[in-house]
Formats: sequence, C-alpha cells, structure tokens
Amino acid sequence: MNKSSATHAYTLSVSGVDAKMAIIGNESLAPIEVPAEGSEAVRVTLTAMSPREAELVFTARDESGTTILSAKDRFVER
Amino acid sequence: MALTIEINHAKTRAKAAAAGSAQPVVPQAVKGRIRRLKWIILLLTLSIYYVTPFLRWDRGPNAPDQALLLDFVHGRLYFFFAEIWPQDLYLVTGLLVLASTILILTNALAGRLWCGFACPQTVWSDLFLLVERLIEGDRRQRLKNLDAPLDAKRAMQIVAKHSAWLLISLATGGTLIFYFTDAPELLRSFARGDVSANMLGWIVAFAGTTYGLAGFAREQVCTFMCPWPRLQGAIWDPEAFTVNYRDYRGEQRTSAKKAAELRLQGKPAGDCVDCNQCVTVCPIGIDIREGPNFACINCGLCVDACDSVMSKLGRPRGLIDYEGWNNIERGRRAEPPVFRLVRPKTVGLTAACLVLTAAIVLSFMTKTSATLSVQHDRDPLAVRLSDGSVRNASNS
Ligand code: SF4
Ligand code: SF4
Repeated sequence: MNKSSATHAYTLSVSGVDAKMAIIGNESLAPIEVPAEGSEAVRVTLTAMSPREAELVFTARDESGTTILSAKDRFVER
Repeated sequence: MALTIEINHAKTRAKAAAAGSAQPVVPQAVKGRIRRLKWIILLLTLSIYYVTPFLRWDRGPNAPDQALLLDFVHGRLYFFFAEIWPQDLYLVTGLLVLASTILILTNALAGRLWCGFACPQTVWSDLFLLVERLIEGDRRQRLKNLDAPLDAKRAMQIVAKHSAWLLISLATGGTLIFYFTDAPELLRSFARGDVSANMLGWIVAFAGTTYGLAGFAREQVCTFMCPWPRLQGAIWDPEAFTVNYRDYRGEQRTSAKKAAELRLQGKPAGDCVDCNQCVTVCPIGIDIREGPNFACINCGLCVDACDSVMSKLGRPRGLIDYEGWNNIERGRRAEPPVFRLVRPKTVGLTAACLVLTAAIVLSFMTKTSATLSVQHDRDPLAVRLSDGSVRNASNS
C-alpha cells in the first residue's frame, strides 16, 4: 500500500530461502507500480528444488531505495 | 501526610446550586496583571482557532495544501508535515495520552490552570461576558436588569446582546467546519450561498453548542458538566500553586477604618476589609476565603481584585494569591513558606511525559509512507511438483 501522494514503483525480492521467486503476470520481476494513495496486490510463488522449512522475508524497495518495506512469512514443505 | 484541609465538595455543589436558583453568577469586570494575561491568552487562542484552517502547507501534487485538515472522506488527518492514516491512529492516541499526562502534571504544579486560562469554555465564556458587559454594563447594572421591566431600551439591549452572541457562535461553528474540508473553497461556497443541508446542520449544531455553553451554562459547565473538577478529589495537591486566601493575614476581618484604628493602638487587625470584591469578580461565584474549592478554576481574577483593594489601602498585595495550601498552613504557624516543585509526583509525571514524547517521536520517525503485507495460501500450504520441488504461493 502506497500512502504517499505520488506513484511509486517497488521491486520485490525475497531472502531466507533458496527458492526461485515468480510473480504471476510479471515474469521479468519488473518493479510494481503502485498509484498514489493506492494499493496493488500481486501473486507470488516460491519454488525450491531442495525444500526445507525456513523463515523468509519479502522486501519491497521503491525506485529511490529510501523506502524499504518488509514482511515476514514461512516457507513450508507440505 | 495528614490532610488538614476540609474540602466539602458536596456542600459547595449544594450552595452553588442554591445560589444558581436564587441568583445567577454575574461577574464584575476587574483590572490587573492576571486579567491582562488572560486577555492576551484569549486573543491568542481565538486567533489560533479562527486562523488555523486557512494556513497552507505544500504537500506536492494530489495532496491537500491545508496545514490542518481532518479529511474524514478519505480517512486522513493532515497536520503540517504529518499525515496520519487510519492505521496510524495509535499516534493520535499517544498524543491524547500525552496531553492528559501534561494536564495532570500542570494540576500537580498549579491546579486547574488550564481551566482558568486556556480551556475553550473559559475563553468563549470570557468573550461572551465581554460582549454582555459592553452592551448591558457592569455587574451592578446587570443585576438591576434582572428585575427591570421590559422597556424599549432593555429590549434593544437583549436583542443586541443575543445577536452578537449568535454571530460569534455562527463564526465559531462555521470555523469548526473549515477544519474538515478545504477552508478557502468552502468560504467561496458560503459567499455563493452554496451550502449543503448537511453542512448547515453541523454549523447550526456547533453554533448552538457555543451559544448554549458560553452564553448560558458558563460556570455550570466548569463545576458540574466537566469531569476535571470531579477528579480533583483524587489529584488535588496541597503543594500546587492554587489560588488561596492567606487567612492568617486576612483574619479577623474588619473595616478599613477599624483596622487602621486597631493598628494605631498596636492591636492586631486582619487585612481583609470584607469588601467582597474577590467574590463579585469570580466567574464561578466562589468565596475563596472559605478555603480551597474544587470548583475554582484558578483564573486568578480574585487575586487581581484583592490586590487592587490592598494597593488602595496601602497594605501589601497577595492577600489572595497563587500559593500552595501547605504554605497557608505554614503561614498559620508563622513558619516561612516552602516551595517544593521537585517532588516524587512531579518528577514521575515529567518522566512519563518525556517517555511518551520520545515514544511518539520515535514511532513517527520510523513510520514509512508505504506498507507491505503477505498472505500465505492456506489451502494448500505447499504443492509438491512432479520434479520433486516444492512450491509455496502467497499474495503480496
Ligand atoms: S475563586 Fe478566584 S481563582 Fe477561583 S474561580 Fe473564582 S476568581 Fe477564579
Ligand atoms: S477582595 Fe480582599 S479585602 Fe476584599 S473581601 Fe476579598 S479578600 Fe477581603
């Protein structure tokens, strides 16, 4: 959710797990544009070849790199 | 600590209620340093209230440029550089807790100082009283008016007073609306006569509240409606600088002439000449000589009234003064006053204010202009693919 009065583009990344991240409809993982005072939802998959349970952190950086947002999740095997 | 003071609030309430039914409180005008300070604070607070909605603050494109705006439609609170979203409301809660703590600290230092000087009820009541005095005269004339027949002059006075009160009330109610929408734009709509029924309803409600509370309820609000005097029983502090009568200096009361004669004979005489000036100027209708009173708003007008009487009589000022009740008791025992600003209660409250301020500033500084949340798929939590890999999916 972008609470500022200008449109921003955020680059999504993940850490904490050895997995390939894909954003449905955005294969190149291009920055996601979020309009001013608006929100954007994306569907993300993480595929791990040698799966193991792990705490992971999603990070979204705006174009200037000054706003760094993070949210925690957990990778599960089943 | 032995609390030697008797504060019989029930008695005070009963007396005030009885007095209220018999005769309204008709305060007399007073001049003095505290009255001057109150006028300055009145001007300052009213100016802040009426001007603030018109202050601008550039937030860039697509954002309102009103410095203080409560935008309920979009769920935003703008305060100069700060922009509060509904999920940031904990900051507003923090500010309200901080304001309450500061109020309790002020009470520990100087009693109901807020009530006497800066509370909107006091400020608007003072303004309405000023209008009343300008149109109907000072206390003596207004008391006469209570039983006067309704002739043309009296009818004109009543119409003029209520018209002026209504104008102030409408300006007050109208200004409050400006805080919720773009003020200059709304003012232009007013000029075009383009006011919605909803808007008009709110203006009438706010104007009616101002008219009723400042024009009629006045001291009743400060004594009976407001919770603050109710709480005084729990937070009243005998070390606080509250307005008190130095009875050890004032008693036995006697006339100025008699007192002068007694002093000539080398006999003791109290400084109080029982002129009742301190009572007639009191906006609450209290006789502070009876002892501390929870209904007293610490406005200090009785201090000014008595000081001017003392000056005229050539006696030292300060018979009524901002003085801790403990010092009044020390005075009775002919002991010197002790000023204890630093004591566990004030230190604790100051520390609480500092911690709260630091927490609010820190929360504000670390607040980001965006949020990210992740909802992991619930069913299934994970999918095993044909190549043995495992896929997790989520919505971000
Ligand atoms: S007693 Fe004095 S300080 Fe208290 S409300 Fe009356 S005038 Fe003000
Ligand atoms: S104004 Fe002073 S002198 Fe007059 S009655 Fe009050 S305390 Fe006594």
